[in-house]
Amino acid sequence: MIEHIEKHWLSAYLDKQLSAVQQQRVQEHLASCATCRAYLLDLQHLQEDMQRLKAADSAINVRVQTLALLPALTPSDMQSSERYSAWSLFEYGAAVASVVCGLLIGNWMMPAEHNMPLDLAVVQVLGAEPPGFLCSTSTYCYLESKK
Amino acid sequence: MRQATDDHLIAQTRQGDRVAFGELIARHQAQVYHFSRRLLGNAEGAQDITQDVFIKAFLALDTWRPDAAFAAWLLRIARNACLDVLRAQQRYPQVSLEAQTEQLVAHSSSAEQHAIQTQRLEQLEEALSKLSVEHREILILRDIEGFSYQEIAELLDINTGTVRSRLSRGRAALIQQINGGATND
Repeated sequence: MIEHIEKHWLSAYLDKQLSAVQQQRVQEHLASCATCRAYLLDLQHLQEDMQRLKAADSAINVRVQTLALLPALTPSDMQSSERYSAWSLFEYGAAVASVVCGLLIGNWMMPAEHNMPLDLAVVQVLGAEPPGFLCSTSTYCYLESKK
Repeated sequence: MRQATDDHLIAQTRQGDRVAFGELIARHQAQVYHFSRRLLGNAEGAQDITQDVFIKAFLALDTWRPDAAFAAWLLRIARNACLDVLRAQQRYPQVSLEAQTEQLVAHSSSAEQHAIQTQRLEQLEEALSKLSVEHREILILRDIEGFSYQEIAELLDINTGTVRSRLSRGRAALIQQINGGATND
């Protein structure tokens, strides 16, 4: 029983992507294996036909339409306009510093809230249904305060 | 103008020369269009994508580096656009390419050869369109567009070993598809 060469070796052999040693090994095997020779021939025919497809590709012309769709700016114009509109490192730093200062001042001015009791009972949990769903009968739709 | 390299035309475009960019479009539009058509499986959609590719390329021209082939860069943009469309469609439509294959064999020596070759190429296009996007794109890039393993690896963000194995599996799937068997592809 003949042990065949792996298909990816034959595919790479077709593309001349094997080392000299590997190529020699494939050639020796092909000399004695009709099955692998047939597969290699299939690969060759396939590649030839694919190249014919390329040769058959029809012409196309989208130049005029594409140029008409291009924006008014040139790439170099866009780069320079982006440069002017983009923030510099200094501007980013100033923005971050402003936010931090605002937070610090706000924290200093606002009194801290300590242990405010949370009266959860005034918020009647209505379950998973949307609120309107429970209000079909008006008497059911109220918030019961804690007694 | 015709002798100018892509690099030179790109440099001129960056200076605001629209004619130079028009020349770049003229050079690469067919490749972008047919790559997109085969990957997308839709000729009309491919034409829209071709226009989009050149508009995106124009806007991003400053990010292009001369160490990458301009054609490969365009096909990378086209590929991303096609994959976006295919993801949106969630299907991989087949393509009818009778018109193209008809043109291909117009110069065949005899009517019989003409008919045989037309049929064979139609079968090939149809079989190709039935493969997975992964196999289809690598077969198009290698066997139709003629990119090297290294170029394909860069274009698809994979290594050359993966190119080799994926190409082999794609070819095996295509042969099986042509021979009338539905593949697991």
